Amino acid sequence: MKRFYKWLLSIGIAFGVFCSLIVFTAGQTQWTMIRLKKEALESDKYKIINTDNHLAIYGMGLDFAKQIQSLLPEKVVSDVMAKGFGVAVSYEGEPLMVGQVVGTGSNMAEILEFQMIKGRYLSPRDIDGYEKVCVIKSNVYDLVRTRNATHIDLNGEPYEIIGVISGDEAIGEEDIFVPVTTLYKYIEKIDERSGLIYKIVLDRKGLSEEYIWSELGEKAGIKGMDIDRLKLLPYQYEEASLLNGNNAVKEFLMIFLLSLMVLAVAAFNIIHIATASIIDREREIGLRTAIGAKPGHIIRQIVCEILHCALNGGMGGIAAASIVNTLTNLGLGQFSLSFNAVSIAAGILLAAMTGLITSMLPAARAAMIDPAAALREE
Amino acid sequence: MDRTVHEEQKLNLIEMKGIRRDYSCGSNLINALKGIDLTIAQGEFVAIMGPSGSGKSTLLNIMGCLDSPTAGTYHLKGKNISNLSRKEKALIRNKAIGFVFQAYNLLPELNIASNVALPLKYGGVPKSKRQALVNEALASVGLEGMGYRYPDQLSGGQQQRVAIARALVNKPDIILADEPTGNLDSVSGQSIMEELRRLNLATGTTIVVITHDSRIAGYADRLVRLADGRINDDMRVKKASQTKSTLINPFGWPEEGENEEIL
Repeated sequence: MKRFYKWLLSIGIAFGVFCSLIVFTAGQTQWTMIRLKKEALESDKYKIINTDNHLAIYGMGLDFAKQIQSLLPEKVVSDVMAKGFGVAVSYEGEPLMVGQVVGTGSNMAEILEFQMIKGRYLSPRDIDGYEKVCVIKSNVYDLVRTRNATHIDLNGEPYEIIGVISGDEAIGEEDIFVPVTTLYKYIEKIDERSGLIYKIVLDRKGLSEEYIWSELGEKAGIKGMDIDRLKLLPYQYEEASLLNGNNAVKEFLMIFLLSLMVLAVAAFNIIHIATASIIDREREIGLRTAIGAKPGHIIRQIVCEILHCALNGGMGGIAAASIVNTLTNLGLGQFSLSFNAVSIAAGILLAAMTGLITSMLPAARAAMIDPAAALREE
Repeated sequence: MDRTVHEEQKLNLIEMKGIRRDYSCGSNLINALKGIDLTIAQGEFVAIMGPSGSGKSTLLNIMGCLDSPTAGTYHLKGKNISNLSRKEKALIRNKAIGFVFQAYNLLPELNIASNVALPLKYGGVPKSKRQALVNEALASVGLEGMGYRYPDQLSGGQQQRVAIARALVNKPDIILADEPTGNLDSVSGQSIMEELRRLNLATGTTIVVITHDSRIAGYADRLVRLADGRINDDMRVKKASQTKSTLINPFGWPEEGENEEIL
């Protein structure tokens, strides 16, 4: 086969494998989410916070939040949830994503709404001890699972992974939970503590909203605090998205179909290129037939040549997809793909299957070449 | 040259009876061959001559199992091959027939040794045995030690010798040469014809050469003339003297080396 056609075939297949792998990897991530959610829903340990008993006060600085906490009725268990922005998450120096770090307090409302898949939740001891431990969502875990990671680095400091909870649709949001005390300590270093306080979650234990509000208002009034700017709202969490697996399955199927379409277009082009190369080589194939090549010899030769190009192209496609994947994870942060050994194996298999299937038609055509006609004209 | 009546040979390698070959060209039917009766004995050196369009190449293609006759019977080594499958014909082409083409038809991406080894590969000869056979074939055409070169590193005459080595490597019963000197200068052409003649004499391989050059035909034992799809003449070629020197150079072409080609 002429070098020109070899290059053309290899590039065609590389493109197909590249596109398919990118789509496949996204699908793989999606599939992991579906699986984890399914596990979460089927597990007895799944704990749903009763929203009727939970309220949240949104948007305030830490000092103000601490004051509000001190004024709440005794039966109300409160937790200050601190949220850090733009925290770089890495594993042994390898950047993984730019995620959100949530400081979790003693009632751990934000963690408990999700199913624990592996390990344990944070404990009061972690919070009191300012421990550098974390509970991560499954989408973060997906990035580190193949590395058998025991820790991840947040802003360059190692945090032990003590638990993995099921993720939700909002990939990249509120991914990593650390003891709020540990987060405060970090924030103190960068002097942005007050600006990062997000909300207070209240576990009211059957107390009415009006009662809490009146207690809070009375005590705040005595102390001369202005609480008019605060809003007391039912605590929201994403139970719906956790329970709604059908959408995720649909998305996965869409991704799978898209992958098939990309492959089909690539295969169509490859068949055209391979057929053009056969037409260009009619004389050579005629000669081979004249000196004794059986149809099987010709078919085998064409299939092997195309398969060789396919595997070369496949390697190129895998390499390109791997690079794009890494750059994507580095650059976008909130869009992470799990490119791993399965992706590579899938790429090789994809290239081989594409080469094998697309070579059939050109090979059959080559085997049917009439040697007398092919050799007739000089 | 002298017209002779064919004497009965001890073994007829090729027997053709009433061979016709028609082609459709649009609404026209072209009768390339109009009933050819031809017998070629083992060990003969036959030249087939005729003007363009006389049916020479069509006849050679049928002889070489590259094409099938529209009508008539063709026996090669006593076997009727008119109705054989593609696979069976491929086997016959591989084992019993060697081809030499005007344009050499060497594969440029393969070196000389690999080109010569192709028929062995298709014939299922184990790799371990191929090298020796290739060396033997190359040596027989004076190209020993050149197996590592590529076709574009050889002169036209050398490339045609490689093609002869490829035709010989499976030790076929017959070599079919279609205008083997058509792309060569006179010195190289002479050298190639001498090579074929020498092989014919040394190994008893039957050789059929298609040409429209009467000087080439002078190397043959027998001359078959075709015209308009029919055999016009079938005669023995009478040499001036059956000495080796006149056999290999019947028309007094320049001796090899007088006009050497530059590699």
